[in-house]
Amino acid sequence: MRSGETEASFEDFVRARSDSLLRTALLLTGQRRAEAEDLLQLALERAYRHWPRICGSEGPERYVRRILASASADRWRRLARRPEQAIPIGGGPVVPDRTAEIADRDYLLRALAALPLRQRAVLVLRYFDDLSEAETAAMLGCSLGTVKSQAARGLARLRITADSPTALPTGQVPGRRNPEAARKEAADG
Amino acid sequence: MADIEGLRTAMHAAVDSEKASADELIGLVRRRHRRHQWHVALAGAAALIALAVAIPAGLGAIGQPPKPEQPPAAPTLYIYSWNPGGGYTGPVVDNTVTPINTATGTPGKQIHVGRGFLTGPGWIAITPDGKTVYVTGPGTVTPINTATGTPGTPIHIGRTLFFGNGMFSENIAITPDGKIVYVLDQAGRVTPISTATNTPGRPIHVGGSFNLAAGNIVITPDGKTAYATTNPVCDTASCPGRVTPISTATNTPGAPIKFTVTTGGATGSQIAITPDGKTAYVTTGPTVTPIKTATNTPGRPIHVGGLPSGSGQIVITPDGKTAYVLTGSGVTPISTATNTPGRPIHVALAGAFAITP
Repeated sequence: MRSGETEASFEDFVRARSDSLLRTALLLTGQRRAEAEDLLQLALERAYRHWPRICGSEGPERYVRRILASASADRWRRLARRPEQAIPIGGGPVVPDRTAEIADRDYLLRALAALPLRQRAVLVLRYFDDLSEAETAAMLGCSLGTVKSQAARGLARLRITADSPTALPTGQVPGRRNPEAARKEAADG
Repeated sequence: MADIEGLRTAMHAAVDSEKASADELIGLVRRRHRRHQWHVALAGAAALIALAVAIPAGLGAIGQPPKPEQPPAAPTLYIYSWNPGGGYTGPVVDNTVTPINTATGTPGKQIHVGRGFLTGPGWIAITPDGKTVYVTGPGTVTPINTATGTPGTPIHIGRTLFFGNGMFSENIAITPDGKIVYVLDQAGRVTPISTATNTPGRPIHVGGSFNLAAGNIVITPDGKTAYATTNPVCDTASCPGRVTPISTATNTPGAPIKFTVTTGGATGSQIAITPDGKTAYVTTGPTVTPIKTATNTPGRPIHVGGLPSGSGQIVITPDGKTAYVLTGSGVTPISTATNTPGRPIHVALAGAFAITP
């Protein structure tokens, strides 16, 4: 049975950290709120299951973040085998918040959401969660080299988009290569 | 690098104003956890039901007719589990089916039926001829040849968006003639699968909302109608029950049978049909609602006391006289002749149960 103290400790953790965890989940899912919330629930449920053990350990947050990262890793592996159906992200700003009118940010975020999942996860963990390359590799279960190359490629893709906002399509399929950007990349390179 | 800073700024600007509703989240996590425990309990219950399917006389216990085929000499118990061997090995888990010879109690070779993220075991069912076991996974159903113990190609049902609806296939029912497998998924869809070709047909929508949709599906003993329940979204005062009849001849849904019970506070909606096929009993919150299958009309809810625990599992005895319902404090019998509850049998922390043939 769970003690009242354990329950209280879990509640305190969620109250204190859920905003931050949700933000990472949002970026990992390309700002799809429903998916992000579900991802977070899954991660927290897993933590809740083992709470008596992990609440006293090095850090439950690290545990939860690791599951968030693993989930996105699992997702891209799955999609590599079985492509996801297209979800149009264009037609309006992806992020309906105050900054949407700032064109550069909007384009950058749309470009981020359009990146292949692994590149997106690497960029989010490296530059939003500020993890080191080694930590990112550990979280995603891939090699350090992969983290480096995916970060470089992801940034290069963002750069292309920033230079040429029209390169960003309105019906990008997450996890697939952006054909316009690919053509431009080929032309540049 | 300037563009890294730009990216950092953009990411923060995009999400820093986002807030999670912590209290709601805590509630959802607990509910999801109970669901997980339910899955674990179901793995045990599914194993018992699999055993029941393998023993003809036991079929009455789950509301299906005796199978005509000769039973195997020693029935085989199939247990669907995850992470066999114990210990937490990460969020990506192995789903495994283990056959057990019930005569000797020895386990056979484990059959791996795929890996998934935190998916765990779903449901398991055996065709009446005992030749194929069907197990559910995330967005898939995998047939297993019981003669060789080898899994077939997973049958994809619906979308497999990682965290989207339809991720979990929740429940399986097989028609008494063994021709169609019906799979109820979390998105509230029932997908018929032809056992001859193992191909899915067009999904039948039975309604429901995200993550709460899947209830249970059963088929009448005559094989003509499948009944799928939708887990209700209860508040503290009431629970809306919903059961959709599906014609197995045309695979089309009939008008949903709706009813509201006035005591709320629990989700989960299980269903069982009497061996004579005349009445379906549906658990909703702390009540059981009888439905006349001839007219598809719900009767007065029967209060069984205490919130149903976990699945709110309901099982009818082979003679059809008594329905037993799992509650938070044990098991409550209901007389099917009078639709009145008997004295509850108290069992602490009951998770799942089965009735001997």
